[in-house]
Amino acid sequence: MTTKEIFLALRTSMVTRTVLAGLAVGFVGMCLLGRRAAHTVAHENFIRFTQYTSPESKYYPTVSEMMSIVRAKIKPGQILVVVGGNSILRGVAQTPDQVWSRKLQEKLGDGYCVVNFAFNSSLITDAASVAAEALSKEFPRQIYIANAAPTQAPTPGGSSVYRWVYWDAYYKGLLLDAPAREKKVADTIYTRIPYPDGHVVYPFRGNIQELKLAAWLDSWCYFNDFWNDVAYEDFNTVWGNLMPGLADFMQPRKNWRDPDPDGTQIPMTVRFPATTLEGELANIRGNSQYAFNKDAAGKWEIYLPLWDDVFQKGIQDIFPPALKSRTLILLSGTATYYTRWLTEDERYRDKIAYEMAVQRWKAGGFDAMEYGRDFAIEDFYDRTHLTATGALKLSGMVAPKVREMAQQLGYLPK
Amino acid sequence: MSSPEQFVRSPLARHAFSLLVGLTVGVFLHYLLYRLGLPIQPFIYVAF
Amino acid sequence: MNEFLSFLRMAFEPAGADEAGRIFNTYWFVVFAAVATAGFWLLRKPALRLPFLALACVAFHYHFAGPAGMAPIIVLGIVTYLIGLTRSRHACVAGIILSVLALCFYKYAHFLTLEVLGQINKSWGPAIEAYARLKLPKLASPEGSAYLFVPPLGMSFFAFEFVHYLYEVRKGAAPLRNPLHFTLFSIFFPSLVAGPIKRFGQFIPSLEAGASQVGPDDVAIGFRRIAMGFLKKVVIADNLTSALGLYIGTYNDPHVAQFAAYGMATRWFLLILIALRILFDFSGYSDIAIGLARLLGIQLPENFNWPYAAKSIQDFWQRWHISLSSWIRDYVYIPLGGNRHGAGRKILNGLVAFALCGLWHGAAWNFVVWGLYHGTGLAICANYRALPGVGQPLGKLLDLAPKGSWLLTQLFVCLGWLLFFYPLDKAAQLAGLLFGITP
Repeated sequence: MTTKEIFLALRTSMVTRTVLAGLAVGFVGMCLLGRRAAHTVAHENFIRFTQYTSPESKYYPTVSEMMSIVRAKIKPGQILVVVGGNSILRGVAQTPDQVWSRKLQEKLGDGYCVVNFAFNSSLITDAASVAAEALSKEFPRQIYIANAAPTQAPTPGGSSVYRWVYWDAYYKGLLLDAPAREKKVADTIYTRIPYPDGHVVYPFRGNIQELKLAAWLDSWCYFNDFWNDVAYEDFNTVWGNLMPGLADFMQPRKNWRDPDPDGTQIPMTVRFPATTLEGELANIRGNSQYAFNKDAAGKWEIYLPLWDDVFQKGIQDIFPPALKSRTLILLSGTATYYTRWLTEDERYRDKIAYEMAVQRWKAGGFDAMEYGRDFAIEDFYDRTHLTATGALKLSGMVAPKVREMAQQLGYLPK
Repeated sequence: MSSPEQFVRSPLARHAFSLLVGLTVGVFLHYLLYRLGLPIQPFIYVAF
Repeated sequence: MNEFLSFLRMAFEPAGADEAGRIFNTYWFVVFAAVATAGFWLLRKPALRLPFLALACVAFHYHFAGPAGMAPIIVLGIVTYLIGLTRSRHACVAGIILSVLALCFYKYAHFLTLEVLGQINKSWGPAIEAYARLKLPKLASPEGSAYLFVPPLGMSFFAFEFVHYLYEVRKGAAPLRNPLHFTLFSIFFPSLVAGPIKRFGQFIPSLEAGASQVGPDDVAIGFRRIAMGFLKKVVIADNLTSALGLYIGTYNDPHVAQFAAYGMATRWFLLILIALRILFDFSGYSDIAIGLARLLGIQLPENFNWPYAAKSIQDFWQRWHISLSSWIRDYVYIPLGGNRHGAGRKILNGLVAFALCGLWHGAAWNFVVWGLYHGTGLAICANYRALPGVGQPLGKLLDLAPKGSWLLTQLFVCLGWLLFFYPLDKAAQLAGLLFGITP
């Protein structure tokens, strides 16, 4: 008998009930293994999520994964510092050795455990904040750091790319009780955009419904934890455009080195190309130009509806009340290379926008500070991202603030 | 020792192979649930 | 319980835009299929199973097509059903024309006005389109779309099944009197979106058999088939699509210069990947559809039978998208006269049938040319032995070397995929590069 004949003979004589039993055992067994993976998957020597461990290359870390990373890293007695926010705090243009959160860890010393869960383009309310909240009962002595632009309001439940983490934690019962936030998130689902011809578009509904179903099923079957673990530790099965060549794409993701470059080695003409000057200046002006109007005397006065929108409605219920005071919002400054092209008047408007945003965040129950205004040109990699020297300065500014917050929050002995 | 033909038709081989097929399908359906959450290409023929 | 109620509410809401084209690849569908199949098994009595299945199909159709996508199909379905009941030959012809017109209206209006009329007078097309948009604003698709009117989900498949139904009734087959049977024939959820194209004479007995006899064998076979389909789609085809996007670019914009920079072996390797991608994507879809139906004890027609093992073009079309090629044969080629009026007419009929087959895939010239390309290949393949001098020796040679026939066939098919996926000029440039001709 040839192998083919053996296979055909076996295929045609399968026992239906055994096949079905195998199917049930296989599926349920995987769910149980997934449940186990949720408590064991921890990226060894974790520094930050790279482009190979983030949605850019079709890798979606779970909340359990982030919690496991913290548990593997934190030592007894340490205060947990979770870094969230966007690519600036993820440390784009800083090599793994240069990442600002590592410098922050060095400056804070052994009493703190700094974990960087920032993702490119993520908001204050995205993945890192969810992981911190999910760990808040286990590690109540915690500080959450994220960044924002002066008049940027975060979406409750997270931005469109990263909100899977919120639903992941929600259905696994890891979030604190926060009815006001839940209502806001539910309202987002039914955000309506009516068009002049009468038809109405619900931009988030389909997307969120699928996410909800996925997270609900995952809370039973734990497929994301299990297969993320396989993709990270054993072999990758999903092609993404950022991946190494066709031949290597099945390599486990832990083998792919963190590709962020050392921004200081990149020529200034590439970092600050003359061709994009006007566009970048428009972006910088956008931070403040809609937030103020000039009064009759030619002085800047705040445009209240926008500020109220962001700071009265926008930030009010993004977190459970108990977690606001342990949150430090960093108002990310823009590159000195560009701000010097602004008029004196525009620079002043920019300055007061940042100052007012700090005040408003504080009034909302959070802590806040700005950075970057006094940084040198070479501290920035581009308009917003920092180089290694900028990372050092940022960590130098944030470390004392974290200590101060820890003191105020009663985390340290009096 | 039985011949390969006899072994292939034996209840043990039939059950073992059936169990293996079932397990494979069960494991794959679990993987599928993970895969559906990642960005996925539309079916080409749905456009026709 | 809350989640279940929330799901029920979602079941009766149209899907989000990001679900378009994904259909089986959504969590909504996973939960829907679980509820629909479990409900079907648990109900036990056929008299309850069929109405339940029909209700599930309506929920599926509504979710993915929305009210705007459902309405034209309901109208067309009711008209087709009522015409079938009359058994009037003239009414059947009228019904067939109506289905074809509906297909043309939704899928080919843009192509016919801009591409076909545009060949005669360039200003006519835009003028007609502007007028149509003004008069039918609710049906019009956004400016810049490939269609003038938004086509209902699965329009091409509905039209073909309704034409088949009326054609057979006109020929004397008994129409479906039971509205439940007709509803399920029309919107049976596993095959609603992209086939396999069903024949009611085969489907209805299978539906009844499933409703009364579905058993563990069906379930085991169904799950195996579904798993195989998803394996082909999500593991193979999707990874190939992503990789091809990186190495060649998108369908509308292949990077010819990038392709030219590769060595000859890489270029041919990429062509093979293109061929594998469409096979695994579509046969994966068909496997899932067939497997889902089988979970309910219902057998759908097969759509693929190892097409890349074909040793001739005829052989290929008996193995590739079988439900479409047999439909084209039965309802286009044979009614045109088939092979009954001499060799010349046979070739012409074949070319017309294949041009329509190409056009069915999309309202663009590259699809028409792809169809004609296959029609021509088929004509050559069927007639080359009659060529004086070279025909007979060549035929004998290929008979002696079947691997040569296979290689020639697959070369022809693979090069054809360039026409299928890319605009004509780009396809020609890519094909040229495969033979060392730099544009």
